Amino acid sequence: MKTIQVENISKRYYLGDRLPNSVRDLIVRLLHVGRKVDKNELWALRDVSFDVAEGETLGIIGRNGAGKSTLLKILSRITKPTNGGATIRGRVGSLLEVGTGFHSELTGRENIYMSGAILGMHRAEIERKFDAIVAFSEIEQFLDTPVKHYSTGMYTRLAFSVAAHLEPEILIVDEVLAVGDTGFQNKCLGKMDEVSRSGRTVLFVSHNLGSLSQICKTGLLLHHGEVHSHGLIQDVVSDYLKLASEQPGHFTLAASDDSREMQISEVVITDHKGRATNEISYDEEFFVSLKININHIQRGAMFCVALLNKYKRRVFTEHRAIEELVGNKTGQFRVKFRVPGDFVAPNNYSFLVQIFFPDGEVLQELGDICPFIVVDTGSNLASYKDYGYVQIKGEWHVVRE
Amino acid sequence: MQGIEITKIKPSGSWIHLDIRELLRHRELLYFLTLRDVKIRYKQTAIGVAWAVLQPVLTVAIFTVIFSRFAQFDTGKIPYPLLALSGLIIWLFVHNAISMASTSFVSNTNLVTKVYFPRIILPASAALAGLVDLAISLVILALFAIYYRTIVTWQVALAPIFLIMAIVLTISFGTLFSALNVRFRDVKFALPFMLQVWMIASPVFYPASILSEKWQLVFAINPLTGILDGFRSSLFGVAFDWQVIGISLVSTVVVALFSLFVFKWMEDDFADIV
Repeated sequence: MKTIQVENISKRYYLGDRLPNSVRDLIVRLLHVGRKVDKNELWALRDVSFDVAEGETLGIIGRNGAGKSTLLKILSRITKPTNGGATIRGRVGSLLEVGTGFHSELTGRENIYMSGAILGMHRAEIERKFDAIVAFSEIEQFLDTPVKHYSTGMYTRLAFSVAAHLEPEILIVDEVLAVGDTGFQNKCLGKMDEVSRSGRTVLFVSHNLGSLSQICKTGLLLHHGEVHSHGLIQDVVSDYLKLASEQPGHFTLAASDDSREMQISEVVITDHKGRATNEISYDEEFFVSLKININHIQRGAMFCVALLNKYKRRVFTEHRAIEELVGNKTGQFRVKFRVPGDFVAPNNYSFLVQIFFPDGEVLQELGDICPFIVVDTGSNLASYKDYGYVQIKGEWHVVRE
Repeated sequence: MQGIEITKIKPSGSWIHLDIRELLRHRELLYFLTLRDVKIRYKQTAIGVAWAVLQPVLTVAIFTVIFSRFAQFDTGKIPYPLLALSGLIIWLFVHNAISMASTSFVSNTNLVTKVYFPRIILPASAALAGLVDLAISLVILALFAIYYRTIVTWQVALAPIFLIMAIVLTISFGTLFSALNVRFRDVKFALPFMLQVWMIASPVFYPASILSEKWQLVFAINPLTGILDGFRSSLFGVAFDWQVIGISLVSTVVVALFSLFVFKWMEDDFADIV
């Protein structure tokens, strides 16, 4: 029995101003009837069809703007498709955001009920699971404190705990695991794994290919709004990696959430001429360029940029207080980190970037992104196979004794 | 297949239909959202829920000073402060609840774009949250009535009918403006002005009887005319003007159906444009 049958779903958005947003705009528009407006349309999804069997755990991957979020929104009934349709058998629970329905003025206890009800739980169900939710979140002593006084970590833990105790027949999850400290992330992954083992149908969007391949058996790769491939997760992941390498040295966050206080939304490796690239000459400097959105500076938050070798071990780590870099301003910034030439040895690398607090809490982590190669363009080591990871201008001295 | 919920996802239809079963399934959400709005309404205010008492009492005091000095209304045997208060508590409910409901989508963007529920629940709960204030002001009204030694007749049993009409009217306008507000932020500027005109055109601080006989039925097209007149008649044991009440009832129903129609027609796009 197919739990979810998606047939030829398409979704069209109008970019900019097809629809009038104020009465004045409407009048202006009416005076210009007949002007064509179709230039601004964008098909977020085009003829997407696939089936999901009962108990299947489907991982949905694709680049930023590939249509993943739109697809989840349509299946969650938040928005309607422009064409096509779907049939879903069973109660759907969707987690497209951590803390849906949370209100900062309400206490933890009140928010558990609020968020539970919004996610589709009945009151009796929330009451039954209340203790389990509290225990999972580890915030017992702050249960009657308004959540506006919570730290980001506490807030996230509570929010996820409510969501984790949702028991629908079909669960739709969008990238909720990208927050919280590592320990809690592992706990969440464990919970996800448990959910999928319990025989429920799960649709899971994530950028963390590792956890995705761990939890999901099948995968769906969306590319420019169309289904690129659909099959075993390993095959789909490798298709995705092939696609990803077409855009060198570039990483864009799939589900950028503008409501976050601080978020890295894009990472690009550029060479000394400012071009995005995934090939660096060993003797040239290069830059890691981060696009960051800051709505609110949290005191003490730090950036971290680490170079990973091909075994995903850190070669070096650099960090800097965010306040020190951008001051007290909010908005969108581009932060560039320079790596000098003649330093990184020819080899395969990738980067890890983080926003973290000195107490160990990680607000955002993008691991193993922007894979690139440092190529040997004529060093005196070119004839060797393994150079290690750094080259230093060491000096040799000889003294006869 | 018994007990399995089947959801069909389709493009926006060309006809409008209201899924009552779906609404019933989400009644607990309506309850929780209403409760939330009640709880946060007076958060971080110094005197909290006392505002629910002060608002009507202070306004009545001002009205009494102005109208008993400068314009004497023929209020029959009803003391003016009592007449004004009975009108004001309904008006304040209507005014506050419509204002709150009109911004319910715009101020809950994260709910609209991240989770599904029948959209109408949001403005409805914002409007229903005003019921707590209404209940408090009804108590004040009762205290006023005792103070003025008002004789209560059997007619008071009919008062809830007019309160229900007021609630239906409020939810209807609330949903209508909440939907319009999603697309046209002009509502933010136009609504306070419209509400002001509406208050002056309704027998809030004057009795419906001062409207000339000839125009009374025209005024009754304003649903508030019949609601306020009927509410007062039932409280103070005055004869009901069924003609006025009847016309207002019809226009309340028309407003409700129209609002529902506009809302259902607009709601599919909310998540995309809010």
